[in-house]
Amino acid sequence: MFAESLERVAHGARRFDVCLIGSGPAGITLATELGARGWSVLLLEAGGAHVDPDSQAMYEGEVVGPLRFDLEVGRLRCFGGSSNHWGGFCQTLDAIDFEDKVPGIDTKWPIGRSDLEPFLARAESVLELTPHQPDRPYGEALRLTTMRYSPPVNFAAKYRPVLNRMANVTVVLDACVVDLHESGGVIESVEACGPDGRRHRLKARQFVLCAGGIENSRMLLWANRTQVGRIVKEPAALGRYWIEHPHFTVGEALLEADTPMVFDRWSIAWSAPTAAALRDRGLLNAGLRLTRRPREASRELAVRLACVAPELGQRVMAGLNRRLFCGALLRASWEQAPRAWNRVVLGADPDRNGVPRAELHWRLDEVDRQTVRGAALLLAETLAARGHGRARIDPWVLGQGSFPADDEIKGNHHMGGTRMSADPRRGVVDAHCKVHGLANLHVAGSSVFPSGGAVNPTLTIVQLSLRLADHLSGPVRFSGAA
Amino acid sequence: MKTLLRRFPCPSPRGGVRPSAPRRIALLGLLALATPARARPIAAAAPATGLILRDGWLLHRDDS
Repeated sequence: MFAESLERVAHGARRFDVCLIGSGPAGITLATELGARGWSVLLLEAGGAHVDPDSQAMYEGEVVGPLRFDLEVGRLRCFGGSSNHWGGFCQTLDAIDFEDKVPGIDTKWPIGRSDLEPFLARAESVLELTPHQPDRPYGEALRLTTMRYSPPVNFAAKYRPVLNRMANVTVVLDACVVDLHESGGVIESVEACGPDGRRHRLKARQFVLCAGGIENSRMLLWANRTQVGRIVKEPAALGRYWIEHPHFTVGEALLEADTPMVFDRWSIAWSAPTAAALRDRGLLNAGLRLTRRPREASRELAVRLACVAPELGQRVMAGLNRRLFCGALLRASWEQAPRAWNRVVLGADPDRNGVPRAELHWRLDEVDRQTVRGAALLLAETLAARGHGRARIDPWVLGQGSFPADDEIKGNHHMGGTRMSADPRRGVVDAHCKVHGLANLHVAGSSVFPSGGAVNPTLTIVQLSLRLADHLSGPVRFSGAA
Repeated sequence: MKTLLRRFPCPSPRGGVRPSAPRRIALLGLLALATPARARPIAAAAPATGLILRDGWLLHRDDS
């Protein structure tokens, strides 16, 4: 049913099978899956049916660190969440992304890629993805990768009619969860604030936080404060190990026309280091993308090459006229090292519901520079060694100067903060996304990622949500429903 | 609200559109007819150990 009023649902004093907090891709995937299995589902969305500036302002917060961005811009507080403005870029995490790669950097997941593979086909269907194409080797250390594209699916548009048809699913908009109430190791109810500021308690057998890569941490931090540590009993990792995919321009390249790289619908040629190269060189994962430059920009690049290698530069310039070469911008997004000091904390300034706004402490360090430098050099080496071109790497990548503050900086991929770990001291949720020490509180979304690989997170978010739906309902019930 | 609603194609696409494969082949064919001797590739394959960094460019030692 779409959409019921908070007051009416609360006055019914009903105990739902599951209460889902947040209606982005994770929350809506769980609602449709569990709803289809006959569960009574309460789906709470803090915002309204559409983007609204007043609601969006509730996401304002502060980023502490040398690289700043606005917390209210890269995510949306309304039904469908950030799927209302995403680009549709999807890839699965690599098998090595679930492992440790660099000594001293904890990137290991308590599950492996094989644990998510059974959910890939259903996730592909949810996201309506273009077909998978296998990577192709490029030299010893690189592989040519492909991006998979969603149309992109807007979860609000696609699933509102589906949820509306399900009599056992109740969607409530403008219901901002402001507290969790625990008793004897079980969450009994959540407290939600309506648009009039009045608070209501809502009961369920199971609760799942699906509020996004910042709000999941913020909500648990706040509830842990009000409930005096009874929500996350080992809070050492709560809010911490927050990660993004840093996005920066790292150089340029002049490519011979016959390179094996394929430029896709966005005119991007994708590549990435092989797992063996990551291990050999002690790197975290990275994605490289070459985007073709127009002829004039390519000519300027050839002139710069001529300044350091005049004969080669002139030959390339002559080739540009005959379209035998082209210029390309080299950009990278990479796996950020999960660090305890990168974290969501509760700020001093409360929102209109009295909940402290998020304060995000975030910075890149030398491991990040080592990752991007290593990946960019691998591409430059491969191009030169195979006679496919030459690449120029920006000085900051090579260690001269700091990360440029005027670049793209981040991918709006908010991950970590409630990371998955078998050890409650190292993570907030277990391998089944259940909060350690509580019987019935789970977390869905990219906040559970212990590490983020170098690929866009939405496909993994949907895979994990489908896996959580199966876990909650149990394999027998699932087999019957399927 | 334009800022909020704009898509975040991550990564942001830039650059022009590559001609389709048949068009590329046709273009290269025309170029081959127009130019008797095709330009050499940038360099022949060489071992990675023979590479040097010069002003950010990763070059072969004998690139001049």
